[in-house]
Amino acid sequence: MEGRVIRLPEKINVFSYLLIFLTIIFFLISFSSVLKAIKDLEKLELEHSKDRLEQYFENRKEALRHQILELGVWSELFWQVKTGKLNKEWFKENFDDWLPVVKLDFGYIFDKEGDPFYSTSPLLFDCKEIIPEIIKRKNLTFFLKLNKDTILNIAASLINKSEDAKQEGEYAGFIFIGRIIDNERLKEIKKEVREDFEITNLDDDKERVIFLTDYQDKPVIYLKINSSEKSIYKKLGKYITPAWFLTIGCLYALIFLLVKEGKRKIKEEKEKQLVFLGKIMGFIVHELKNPLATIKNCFYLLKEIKDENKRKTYLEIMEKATENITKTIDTFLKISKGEKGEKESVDVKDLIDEITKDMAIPPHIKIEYSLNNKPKVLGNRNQLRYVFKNIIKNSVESIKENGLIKIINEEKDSKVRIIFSDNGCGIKKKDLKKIFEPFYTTKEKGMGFGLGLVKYLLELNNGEIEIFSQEGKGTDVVITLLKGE
Amino acid sequence: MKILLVDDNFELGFTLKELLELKGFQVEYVEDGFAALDKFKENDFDLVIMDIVMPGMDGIEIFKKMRETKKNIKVIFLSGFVDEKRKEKLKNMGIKDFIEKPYNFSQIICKIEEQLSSDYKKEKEAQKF
Repeated sequence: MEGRVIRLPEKINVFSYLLIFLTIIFFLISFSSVLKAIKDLEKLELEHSKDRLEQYFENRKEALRHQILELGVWSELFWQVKTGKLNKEWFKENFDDWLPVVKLDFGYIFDKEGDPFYSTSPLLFDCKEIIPEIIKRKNLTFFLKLNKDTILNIAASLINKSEDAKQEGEYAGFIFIGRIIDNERLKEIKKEVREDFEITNLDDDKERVIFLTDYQDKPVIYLKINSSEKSIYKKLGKYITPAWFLTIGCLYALIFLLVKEGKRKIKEEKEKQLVFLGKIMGFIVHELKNPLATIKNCFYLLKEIKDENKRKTYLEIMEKATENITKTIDTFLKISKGEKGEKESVDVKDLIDEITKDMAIPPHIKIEYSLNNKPKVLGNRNQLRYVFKNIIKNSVESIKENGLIKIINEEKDSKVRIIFSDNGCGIKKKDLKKIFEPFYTTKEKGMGFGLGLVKYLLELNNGEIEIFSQEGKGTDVVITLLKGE
Repeated sequence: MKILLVDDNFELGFTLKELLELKGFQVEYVEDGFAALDKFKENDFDLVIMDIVMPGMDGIEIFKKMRETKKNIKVIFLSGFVDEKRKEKLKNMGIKDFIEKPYNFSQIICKIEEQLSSDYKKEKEAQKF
């Protein structure tokens, strides 16, 4: 039999997925602008600092001039070392004092006119003014560094360089500008430059520190930027690109959509529940109508008829009708409250017997069961009674002429399957999707409601229902329940 | 005055039959459509009182088949619940309304009188003389 398993379709909100996608794209675009900003700002910071450094040196020109002249001493010293005319006494007197506290800043080699010929630093310092003074000194060779070995090496390499230059006839001399960094001196320098720079400890690797290097790319001056930060953040504004606004816009729309969707779902749930309860109420009312009408009839009859035997019959009928009313109300109260009801082991054959006895099955319909092993299921008897009754009723209603309803069972692990097959009119494909909607009505024969309720009741009893049907050929209803003891 | 009563609920059908008989009608009661059609072929009824929603064939369908054999057959429908489709069908067949369960017995009597006004009056007058 051509089958179709019933499943509820899931709604996919394409728009919200699109929004999520757009948000990610825009965020990536805006994030790239942040990366660019970081890069730019780093560069900006460096340039800014260099500007300030230059200004610093400009301001300190006098002091530097003095420093250079003072350091000329070292040129003389080196000359002595180089030519072997070393005055050891002089060397000891000066060298030991100076060496540990002097640090190389930068150096120039200049030609005879005093124009820069070679520089270890991108910072150009106009030396022309001080050259005449320097020339008064013998040989213009300056060098400064931290320790003895380095000093000698540097001196040697620089001298070599200068000698090379001399061979070409372009060299006149070279100057190194260094600073004295012993603790005492450092404090003095700090005092002098506080307004512009904070000179940090040489071992300090903190961020936001820039440094100048010597010709060997070794760090010489460390500068920590403080005062310029504010202006840097002001410039952040230009990195707020439209992508940022789009990202924020998309996020806002997404949140709005989700909140709206959430609210709608809650509302839908509530409405569904209300509709379901309302329909259950409608069903109760409908179920009560026959017994109520019967009781009313009996009242009229009791008023009119004096025959004791007949009166007894009417009273019995009234009692039965009242019982039916009570049962109906009980069942529906439990259903509408969503209570699970007390569960017990229910004998399937007993239950079906009870139902078919009650239902007055038309003579043209035959019910056949072949139930193996006396199947028992776990569930609430009243609710299961309702489920089975509805399924059998639907089958009965679908059969026009001579019909057959077959009931068989299968057992697997802890579950029992009960299969109701009929050769009735079947269910149309388009209706098959909707039959579990609460009280959905399509059938031209029979009442049409009940399968929504059946499904709900089965859920309450940990059960499932599947319906396979082919129009004109019949329907198979498969119920799965937990096995009883 | 012969009435055919069709209702799948036995208690209701049985008590209604008793009541109608008490009022002097001759009533045949059956529980389903097939039995109803059989009875209808065998006897000549003046009126059919029928539930609409029944298993197998519903009241409307039964009535359609009855009309094929007897064109002027009169009917009173009883029902507890009638969906939109059935309401439409009733309308198409020229039946304006139905008696809603649970009814007052007097309602049924009124309807019977209305339906059978001419025949019924004649009968009553005949009884007087």
